[in-house]
Amino acid sequence: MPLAHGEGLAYRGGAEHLAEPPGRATSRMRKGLTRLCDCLGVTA
Amino acid sequence: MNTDDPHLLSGAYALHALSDEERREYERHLAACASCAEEVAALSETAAGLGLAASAPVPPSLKEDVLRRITQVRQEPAAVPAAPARDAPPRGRARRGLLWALAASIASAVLLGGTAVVQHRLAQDAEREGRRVQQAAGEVAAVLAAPDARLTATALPQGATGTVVVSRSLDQAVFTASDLAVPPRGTVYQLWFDDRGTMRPAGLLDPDRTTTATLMDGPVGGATGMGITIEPAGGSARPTSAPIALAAFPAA
Repeated sequence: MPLAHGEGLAYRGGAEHLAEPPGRATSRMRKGLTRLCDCLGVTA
Repeated sequence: MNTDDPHLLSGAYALHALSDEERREYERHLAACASCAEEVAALSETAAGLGLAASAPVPPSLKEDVLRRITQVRQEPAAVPAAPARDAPPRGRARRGLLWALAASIASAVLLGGTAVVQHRLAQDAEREGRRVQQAAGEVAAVLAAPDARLTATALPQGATGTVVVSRSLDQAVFTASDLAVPPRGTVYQLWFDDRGTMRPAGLLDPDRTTTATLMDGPVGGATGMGITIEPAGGSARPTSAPIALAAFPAA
């Protein structure tokens, strides 16, 4: 999914690009998606 | 696993942003962690929805439509007041705010995009209906202007008058009426071709219009006349009441 990879980068590459720790990048992805789940009413 | 807490990789996994090695390792973790499996299911569904939203074909006129509508909608005041420069929030807090704003923006874009698509479809429906009416008007005009058009007038109830115009060369007929009484509630006027004693459905009149010019459905064929009956809404396959008017087609 191009949107997820951000120009083909896995999260480590994305974190490097943003100059932030990899753990923060994964946390941002998780929280962002969780927020979207809430907005769209998606439940497991 | 290359991160301190594998539970935090659910988002990256749902977004396919793990390396191959990390993905395999995380899938082993998933097999043993029910809460992560549950979370991944929801996040993956949302991520897939984003993918669908991103790949939906956008009508060429959508941009113009949205830009036009933007000029007609009052902008809402900002929900979050600007923070004073000297009291800027800590870096982490600012990032969290950014994250929420990003998530909300994406969600809004998806929802607004959906609304715009719905509005666009409604506009397309209206345009299609307009084209249909225009085409019907053209067909009526063609019959009325046909060199071999023949007219027959007939009296209708309550002083109304009807005229049927037949063009044998076009194999079509038009029924016009003025001052037509509104049919009883739940009923409509139905037109019929008279195929030498057998009535063939030829369309319904708009119950809301007292003056009409309607292209009769189907070819004239060997019909020798036409009739009008009052039928239940939606029409009937065969007349269920006595005709309120009959008209013989003029000889060619």
